[in-house]
Amino acid sequence: MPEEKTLSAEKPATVPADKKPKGPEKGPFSKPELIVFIQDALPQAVVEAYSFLGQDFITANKAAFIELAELLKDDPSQDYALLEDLTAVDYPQKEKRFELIYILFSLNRQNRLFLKLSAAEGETVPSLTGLWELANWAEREVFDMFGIRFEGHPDLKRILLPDGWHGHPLRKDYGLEQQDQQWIAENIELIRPQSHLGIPSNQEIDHLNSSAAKSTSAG
Amino acid sequence: MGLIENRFESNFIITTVDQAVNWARRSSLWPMTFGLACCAIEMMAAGASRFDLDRFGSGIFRASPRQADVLIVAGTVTLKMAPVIQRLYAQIPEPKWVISMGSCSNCGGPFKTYSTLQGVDKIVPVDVYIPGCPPRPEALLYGLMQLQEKIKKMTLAKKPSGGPTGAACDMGKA
Amino acid sequence: MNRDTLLSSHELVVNMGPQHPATHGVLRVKLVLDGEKILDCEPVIGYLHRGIEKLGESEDYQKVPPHIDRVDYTAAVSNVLGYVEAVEKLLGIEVPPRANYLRTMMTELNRLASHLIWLGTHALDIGAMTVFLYAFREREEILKVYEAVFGARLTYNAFRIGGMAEDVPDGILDKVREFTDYFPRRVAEYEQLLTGNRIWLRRTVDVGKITAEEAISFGLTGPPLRGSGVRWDMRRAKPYAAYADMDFEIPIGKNGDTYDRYLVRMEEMRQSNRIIRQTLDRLPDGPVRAKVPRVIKPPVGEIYHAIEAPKGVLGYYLVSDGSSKPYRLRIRPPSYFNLAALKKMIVGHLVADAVAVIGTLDIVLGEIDR
Repeated sequence: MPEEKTLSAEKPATVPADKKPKGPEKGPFSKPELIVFIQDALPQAVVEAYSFLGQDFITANKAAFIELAELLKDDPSQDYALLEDLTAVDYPQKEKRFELIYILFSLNRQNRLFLKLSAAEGETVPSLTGLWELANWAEREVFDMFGIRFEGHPDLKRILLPDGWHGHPLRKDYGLEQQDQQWIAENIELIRPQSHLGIPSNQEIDHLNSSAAKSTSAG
Repeated sequence: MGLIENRFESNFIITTVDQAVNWARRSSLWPMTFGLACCAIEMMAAGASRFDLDRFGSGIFRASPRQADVLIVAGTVTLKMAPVIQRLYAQIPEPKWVISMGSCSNCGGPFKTYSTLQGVDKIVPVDVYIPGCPPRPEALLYGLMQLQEKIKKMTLAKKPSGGPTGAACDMGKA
Repeated sequence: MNRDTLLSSHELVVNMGPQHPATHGVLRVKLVLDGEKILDCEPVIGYLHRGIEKLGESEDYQKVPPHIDRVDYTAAVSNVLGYVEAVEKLLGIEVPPRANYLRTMMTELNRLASHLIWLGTHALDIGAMTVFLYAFREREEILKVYEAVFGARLTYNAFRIGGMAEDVPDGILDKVREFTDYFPRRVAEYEQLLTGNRIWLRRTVDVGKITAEEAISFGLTGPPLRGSGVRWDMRRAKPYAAYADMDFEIPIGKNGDTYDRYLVRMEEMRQSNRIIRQTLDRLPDGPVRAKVPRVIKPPVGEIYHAIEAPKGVLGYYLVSDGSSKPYRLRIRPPSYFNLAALKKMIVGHLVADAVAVIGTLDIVLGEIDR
C-alpha cells in the first residue's frame, strides 16, 4: 500500500501519549486471595499485581523470586506445574531496561499466570533451572538475544547465534541488519561481497523517505 | 576425464564424445540432500509421486556429498551455516553444479537481517537460480531442465581461457 | 606396542548434521558414543536463525504474517492463526462466525498436512519409503485445496486481521467434503503398513521414553506430552476460533515412547477429519471479515495468545506501544522446547534410535531457530 510507506518529516519517531489510541486499562488482579496467600508465605515477594485484558500479572521482587516460583509450582492449592514460556523485553527508556516475563500454566485448573521481573543492564537474574527443565534453553536464548546473565544456570552460552558473535540482537540499540564483520571475516570466505543488489530494506526506505521529505519541506 | 580435458582442439571425435558424456551427466544428476528451510518441503514434494524428480534421473538424493553431483541449496542460508556449506561444496567431486532454489538462497529473500547471508552465491558459484518463495515443484523441475541445457553445452575441447569443466567456466565457447 | 593401547576403547564424539538426511532440517547433534550406545548428546541449533522476532519489530502488523508463515513452514496456517488472533485480541475485534469456522477448517486441514509430513519423513527415516509416497499423495490433495483458497502451496499468508481475506471459491467446499470422505480409509492404509508391523514395533516401542512429570518439566507440549499420558490440549483448555463448538476427542498414550506418540498422531488425524466435517456441516453464512481500521495501531498493552499447533502449543507474546509496528513479538515455539528433551530421551539408546526419536518429536527447525 503506497500510502503507508511515506513518512513525513513532521511525524515523530514515537507516538506521543495523547495521540495513542485509547484502549483497555490495567485493572485489579482477578484473584486477590492468591496475593494474600503469597504475602502470607513470602511478605516481600509481590511488588505489583494487576490484570490486563483478562491476563493476570504479578510483578515480583528479585530477592524472593525463586521462592515465589517454587511456591506457585509446588503448593497443591496453586499447582502451576507448567512453565509455558520465559522471555524478555527491552525498554531502554526505563531505569531497569529489561523486563523478564515468565508464563505459568496450571494444567489441572487450566489457568495462566504471568510473572514479571525487572533487571538492569549488567544485573544477573536468578535461574529457574532448578525448578523447571524448560528454563535451561529458554534462559540461554534470553542470554543470547538480550545479554542477561542467569545465576545458577549450568551452561549459559549462546544458542541461536554462533559462538563468538558479538552483540545481543533483540536489544533496541542493535540494528536489524547489523552483522558482526569480525566473525564473518574469521569464519566465512566470501567469494563476492554481500551487496544489497540495489534492493533497499524497509528501514532504508523509511530513512530515505524521511530525509527526502525533510529536504523538500526545507527547500 | 581430467586426462583428456582441455588438451585437444575441437573436432568431430571430441564432439561425439561430448554428446555422449554430456547426455550421461545431465540424465543422472544426483542431488545432495540439502534442504535448509521451507524450500526443502517443496523439494521433497518434487521428489514425491505427483511431480516425480526420478523421471529426470535425479530422484536419488544422496546424503553424502562424495556421491552427489548437484547441490540444490533450498532454503535460507544463515551466517552460521555458511562455513558448513563451503565445506560441503568442497567435498563434492568434480564435475559439480549448484542450483539455488528459492528467494532466500538467491538473494536473501524476505530475511534481510543480521544473521542471514544475502544469497548463497556469495559463498559458492551458482549455475541456476530458481525464483519463488517457495518455488513450485514445477519450477524446480524447470530449473533442473535449464541446468541440463547448460550441461549439454559443455565440452572436453581446449578452451581459450582454460580452467575446469563444471560451474565456473566458459561453457563450450571453443 | 602396548597391549593396553591395542585393545583400549574410547568414547567417540560424532557429529550428526547440520546436513543430514534425517535431522529434518539443519540440526546438529553432537553424540558421544561408546560403540553404538549413546552416552551423551548435545543438540546445537541456530543454523536457521533468521531474526524473525527482530523483523517483527520493524514491520507493520499486517506485514508480519508472511514472515510468521516461514516459522513453522510445514503448518503455515496455524502460525498465522495464532498471530492474527493475538492482534485481534489487542484491538478488541470480534471475528464473524463464518470466518471462525473457515479458519478452523483450514487450520485442521493444516494439522493433517503437517502430520502427513511427519508420518512420511518419520517412516522414511526408519526405512519405510512407501509411507512417504502415500502421505505426500494425500498432502497434495490438501495443497490443491489451499491453492484454490489462498493461492499458494506452502506459505499462504492465510488470514487477515479481522477474518479472512475473501470467502472461499465456489465448489471448494465440496472438494473438502470429498477429501474427508476418503481420508479415514487412507489413514487405515497407513496403519495397515505400520501399526502392527514387527519392524516398526521393534524400532519404536520403548524408544525415547519420557514420563509425564519429566515432560511437564521440560515444557513438552502437543503429541510428545500427550504420548506420556497427559490429556491436555490448548483447543480444549483455552478454546479459540470455533473450537468451543466442536466435538472431538483428545488421544493420549500410556508409555511415553515413540510408538505411543505415533498412535496419538494417527488418532489426531482422524479427529481432525471429524472436526473438518463438523465445520462443513455447520458452516454459518455471513461476512468473512470484521470491520478493521485501515492502519492497524493497537492500543498500548501486551497480550499472550497460545494455540494448539500441530507440533504443540504455539504462543505469541505481543507488546504494543501504540504505533503501527509491534514493540516486541515473541513466538513461543513448541519444537524448541520439545527438542530440549532430546538428551533425556536418547541417552542409553543406540545411534539408530536417535533418528527415530528426532522423528517422533516432529521438530521443524524454522520454528526452533526462528
